[in-house]
Amino acid sequence: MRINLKKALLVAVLAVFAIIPVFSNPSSEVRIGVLKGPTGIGASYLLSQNEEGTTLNRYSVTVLAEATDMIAQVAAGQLDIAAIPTNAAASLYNKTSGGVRLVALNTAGVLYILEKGDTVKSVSDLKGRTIYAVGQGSNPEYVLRYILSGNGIDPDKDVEIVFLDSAELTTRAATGDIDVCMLPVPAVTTVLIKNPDMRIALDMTEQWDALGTGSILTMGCVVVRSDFLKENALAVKLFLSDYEKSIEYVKTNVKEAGEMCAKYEIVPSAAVATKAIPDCNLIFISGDEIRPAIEGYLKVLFEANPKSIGGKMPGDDFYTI
Amino acid sequence: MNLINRPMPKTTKTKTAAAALFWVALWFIASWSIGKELILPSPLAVLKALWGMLGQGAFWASIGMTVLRIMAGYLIGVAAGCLIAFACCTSGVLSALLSPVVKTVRATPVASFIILAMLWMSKGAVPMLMAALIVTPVVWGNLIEAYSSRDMDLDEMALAYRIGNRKWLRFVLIPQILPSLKAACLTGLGFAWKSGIAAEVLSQPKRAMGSNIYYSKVYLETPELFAWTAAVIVLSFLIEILVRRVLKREAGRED
Amino acid sequence: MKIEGLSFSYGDKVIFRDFTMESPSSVICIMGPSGCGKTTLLKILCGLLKAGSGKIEGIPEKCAMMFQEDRLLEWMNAHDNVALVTDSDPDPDRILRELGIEPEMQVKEMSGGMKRRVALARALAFRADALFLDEPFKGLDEDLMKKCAKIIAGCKKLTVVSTHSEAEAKALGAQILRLS
Repeated sequence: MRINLKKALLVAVLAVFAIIPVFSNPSSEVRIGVLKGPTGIGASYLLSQNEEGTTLNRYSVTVLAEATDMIAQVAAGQLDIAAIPTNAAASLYNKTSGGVRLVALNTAGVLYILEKGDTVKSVSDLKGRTIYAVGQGSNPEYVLRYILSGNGIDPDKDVEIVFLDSAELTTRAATGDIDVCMLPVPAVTTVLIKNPDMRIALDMTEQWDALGTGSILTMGCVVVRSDFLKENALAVKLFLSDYEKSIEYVKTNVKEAGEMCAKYEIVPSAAVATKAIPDCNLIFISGDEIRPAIEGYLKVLFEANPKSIGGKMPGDDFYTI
Repeated sequence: MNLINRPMPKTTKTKTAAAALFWVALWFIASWSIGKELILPSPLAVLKALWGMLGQGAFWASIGMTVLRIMAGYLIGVAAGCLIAFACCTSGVLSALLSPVVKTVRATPVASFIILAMLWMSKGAVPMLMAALIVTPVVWGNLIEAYSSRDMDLDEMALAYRIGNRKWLRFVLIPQILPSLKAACLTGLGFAWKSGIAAEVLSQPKRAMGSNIYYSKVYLETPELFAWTAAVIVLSFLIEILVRRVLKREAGRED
Repeated sequence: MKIEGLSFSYGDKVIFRDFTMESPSSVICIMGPSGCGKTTLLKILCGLLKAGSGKIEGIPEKCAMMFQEDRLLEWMNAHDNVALVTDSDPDPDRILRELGIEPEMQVKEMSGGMKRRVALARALAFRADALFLDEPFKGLDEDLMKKCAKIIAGCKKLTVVSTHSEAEAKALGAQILRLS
């Protein structure tokens, strides 16, 4: 009887020590967030490597559907590094008085206007229509408004813009419920596959360039919380290395990447992912090259509507890590 | 310390004012120590935002439409509650049919209703339906309870003296259930207001206070979010005072 | 009034089994210990309860019942309580004043004895052909009791009263019926 008690106690103590690591939060894990879109697609290889343990950092990954949720989590300090829309990055920087920094640009322009029909051939054909869109408060809203205004259409009076969340809009467009909508890749790919009546009416990146602003439409970027950066500068550098590798891989190994996207539920199916990857306009710009690439774009947004980037142009330290 | 037979502690206007100042001061200190306007703006920032909003027509339009929507739903809910309660108290068949429905509606989470309603109807109608759905079970429940716990001795007396249905309704039953109805109207008002605003946040109708609360989140404008919320709270108090006054007048008229 | 073979039970509890009585008197006082069935008998005679079996003769169609509890509408005044049963009759105030009650007074502000008198006024104002009064003098002092008894007797209708006190029976000039 006595021996059994001692054994039981030993086992219990060992069990406690075994369980502790499960409950503790190792600070060596970097909490990253990606969206169910190009940013997630570009990171899909990183996610798979992370699972196999071959990345330079250990990551805990959150995949979200809505940019607003991502922004909220970064603001609340629940994520260390996150992929968010470029205008939101500037806005967050302003609203948190320098609480975030840009570490990389990952998506150029991926917005398209889809139409169930054949009537929209130019931006002016949108006059009087109802346009369904995603991304209220993000690049899509401001890009749309800018392009409409630039073509002589008042976004508040000449059209009706209705914002939905991406899941609802994608579904409704796919089922033919909507005539005109603006979506990013890969949602565009999903809709086009499911609904042969829809076609790409306008390429927003093209329209942006046609307005001659001289800036590049850059929609997605990666930010890091300044507090995290202060303590873990090395981890951030390692992340950039992992991330660049991931984007390279995805662009060259489209089929395998497509499967990874489906596995991590970044895109609903591997087939859609594989088809969408080339259209995702994935880029990787880091370090000194960030500022010249994006500052022009932010300036255009700012001049159109200061609210879009949080009231003022970000300071110099926004671009440096 | 003796607890027995103590009168309710009195709250004077000075006490309330001092308490308000205390909490605002606490808020100020908290916002100053957190330091991030995005997370907790200072009372001054909120006041400034509110001041800016007061001058915009869209602000007042939103308030007007929200009040209209929610009060319309509230009144519909009260009427529906009364009608269904009447049906349940008079007919066994109707009671068997309707009671489970009302009880289910009462038990369903508001969020589920909002999301379902958004699929079925226009954005502007969702808050109105929510307000009605929240109030109906409250009024119904109170009326049913008041009806079942009415003084049956008085009913026997009414039968003995052959006063007839109309006199019984007017002089015996209604005075007994009126306090319950009044309480239900006041409780239901708070629920209707809260769930109506929540519905507006989720469904975002064109001119609505709730929509603006949602937008301030999207555009990361926390001071505006607080300002809109403050407006909702103030309006809720004002409407409650108004409804109380109306009920007092109606209750007085019955005599 | 004549009762023959009356039986009544509340569920399993037997109140009357083959009860028989006869009385030529127009004023009857039922006396007996608490719980012996005085209230039940009054209610059966008045028509509020239905007997299991038995025959009752001599009861008119329209009966007024005064209950052991006041059963007044507390939210109204004395006048309105009595007027409830009399269909736009000017009598309510007269009867109330005769019993010493101010018609405008709110019932909820009255003492127990005053409420009792309002209930009595209501029963009298009903213009029934028979009166069934369950402990009508509860809470009244001797003078008031005698005054009320005189008014009741003055109605000259078939009156059946339940009471605990012989003095009350005497004031009414009633024949006493004892139950056990």
